[in-house]
Amino acid sequence: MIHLEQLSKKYGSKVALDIEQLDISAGERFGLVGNNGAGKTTLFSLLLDLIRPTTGTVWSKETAVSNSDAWKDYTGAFIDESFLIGYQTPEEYFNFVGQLYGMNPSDVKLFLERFTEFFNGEILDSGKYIRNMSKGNKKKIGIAAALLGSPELVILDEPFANLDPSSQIRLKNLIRDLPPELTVLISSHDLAHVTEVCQRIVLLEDGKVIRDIKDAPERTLEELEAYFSGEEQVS
Amino acid sequence: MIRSLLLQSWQAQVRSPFWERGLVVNILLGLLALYLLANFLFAGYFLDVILQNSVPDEHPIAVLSGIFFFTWIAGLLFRFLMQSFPVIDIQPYLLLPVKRSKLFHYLLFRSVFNVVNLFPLVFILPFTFKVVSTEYGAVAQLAWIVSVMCLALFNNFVGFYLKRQFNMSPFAILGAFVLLCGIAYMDTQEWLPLSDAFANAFMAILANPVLSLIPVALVVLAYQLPFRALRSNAYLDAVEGRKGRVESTQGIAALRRLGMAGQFVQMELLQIARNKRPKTMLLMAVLILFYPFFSLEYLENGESFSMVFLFTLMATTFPMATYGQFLIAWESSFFNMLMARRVPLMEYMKGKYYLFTLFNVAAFCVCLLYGLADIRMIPIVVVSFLVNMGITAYIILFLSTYNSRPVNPEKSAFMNWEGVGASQFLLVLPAFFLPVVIHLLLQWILGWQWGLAVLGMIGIVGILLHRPIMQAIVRQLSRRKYDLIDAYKQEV
Repeated sequence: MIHLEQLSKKYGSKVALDIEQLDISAGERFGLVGNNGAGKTTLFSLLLDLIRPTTGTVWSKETAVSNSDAWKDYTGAFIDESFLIGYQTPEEYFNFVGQLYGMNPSDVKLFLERFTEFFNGEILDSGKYIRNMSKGNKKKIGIAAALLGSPELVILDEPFANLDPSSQIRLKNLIRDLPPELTVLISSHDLAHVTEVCQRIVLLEDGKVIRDIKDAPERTLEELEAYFSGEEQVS
Repeated sequence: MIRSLLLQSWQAQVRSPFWERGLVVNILLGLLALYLLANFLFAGYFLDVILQNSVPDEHPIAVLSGIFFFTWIAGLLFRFLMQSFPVIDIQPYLLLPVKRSKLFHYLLFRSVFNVVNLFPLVFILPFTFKVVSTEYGAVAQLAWIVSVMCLALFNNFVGFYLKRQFNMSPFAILGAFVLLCGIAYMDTQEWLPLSDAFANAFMAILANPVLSLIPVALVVLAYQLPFRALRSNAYLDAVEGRKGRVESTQGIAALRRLGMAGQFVQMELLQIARNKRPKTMLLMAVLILFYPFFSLEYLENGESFSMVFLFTLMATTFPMATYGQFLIAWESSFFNMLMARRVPLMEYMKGKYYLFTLFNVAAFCVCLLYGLADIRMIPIVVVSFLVNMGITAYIILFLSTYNSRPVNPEKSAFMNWEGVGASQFLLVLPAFFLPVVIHLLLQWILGWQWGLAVLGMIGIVGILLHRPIMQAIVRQLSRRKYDLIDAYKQEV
């Protein structure tokens, strides 16, 4: 699904991202971890054609994302608050994003039913504009909107941050219940959650891929904790 | 304590992003400010001559004192509408071990140093030095200045109090407006001769400077009003005011027929309705539609026909131009979403063009009323519409791809210089003036009838070439996309 080759992003002399080769296949649950400034958001921004790479290209289904808009048809994403329209109510926002993907308001309403527990009654029929809602609720709106339109690829930047404990668990379950054909890319600071949800974990440090852990969920959390606590050497 | 608070407030002013707008803009604004200041000082200096000429029988000081009555009323109304209490400023201090009353004194004291309060001084000082001191001496002069300032300060504090109490209820505003206009009217009709009372009061102060203590006492009393209100209410929840519940809109059904572009028009209309800045700017544009009324007299003279046309053109272009100078920047807070999700750029820009169509049709309908005044206005209004739709709209759409400063539409439009940069002056003005220049050229070559006709035809051609022109604009947008995304990362 996603193919990155010789992809780098430099700001002057500072290297924000430098990936030699990375492939993400369809249906993969991909977790991205790293300390602040490791390059997680840079990578996602490159995947969504929000910034131009210094070298290399991002290929989505064998088409460069910068060359065509076709990838937008099947990609859903939520990076940060800059994806939300503050002066709208959540319903208006969901309807707006929904119609971009050909969903009418009743389709959207039907789709949002699966989020009833996740929303905890605070999102729909709240009587508030998104700009006046709490950070956690804004995050919930963004995550739900990212899944609108039956995407094949979903990119979520730090979805667990700012969520209360119950919501975090509900989100984990939500992601686990997503259709298996759906490719999910998540970045997180929460090692426990991300190892539970994703089979493949990639560790970024200073823009480079340090570890690429596939299909070993039992030991992954220990390995990550060992890395981050002791800063053990890269093998 | 208050001194360090004031120092911090000064730092906040000096470090505000207001000053980061680039040297050119700051110099231009500075020159403008100096020019205006010089004008007002000049006017103040010759105020006695002006007053002498307009009301020859009475003494200029008395006349001016009478006028103070009206400025006091107007000032009160103005503050009721526009004044806002900067309580947000003290939020970080509420948690620190600072006595609350000191914070309130600081806030109220700081509110005095406002352009609106200090402005009367600019006018009054030259006048007093010239007239009052020569006739009544230095002490009386001081007393007079103090009394005049007390008027402004009284309004300042009472304005805060009223604003807080009535909190923008439209009925309250209307009621206040009617009340104050009523008082002013009653004065002109001599039923309630308050302006004479004012005149007498000020003359009395000049004769007996000690009397100036009365206005000072009034100001102290006025000060108590907001101070007490603050003391009882300075809690974070009370201060912000409870926001009422809002309902989601279903949208406008007619727009659904326009497809995705219609949805974007809806988004823009919602943006205008729910954000202070675009709403205020467009209300101003509505007022400007009355501007051509003053040019109707020039229709008599065939030569000045172009002047009328230019007035009308500028008035009808104004809504597009004023909203269009930030056309893309309005959405800077969620521009990432528009670029990352399935938003076809063509539909996005078409939505903006349809919005302009809405503005222009509305302006056209309103300006058709000018045809009732003079039938020759009809072709002018028609050609203005065609030029707006076929030329100016495209120019503004194209130039909006250079909106490289983020803008926060929620902030009030008053004294808001956000997003205004050199690009605004250099690029939006040509959008305004290009049709004007073309018209002048055509008029010079062909005479005004044919000039108008040719201009209209160019407009029609522009409307017919909608598709290819929009495609060029969309290509431009995809070129500028990365720079815009990068620019909008700045804090607004």
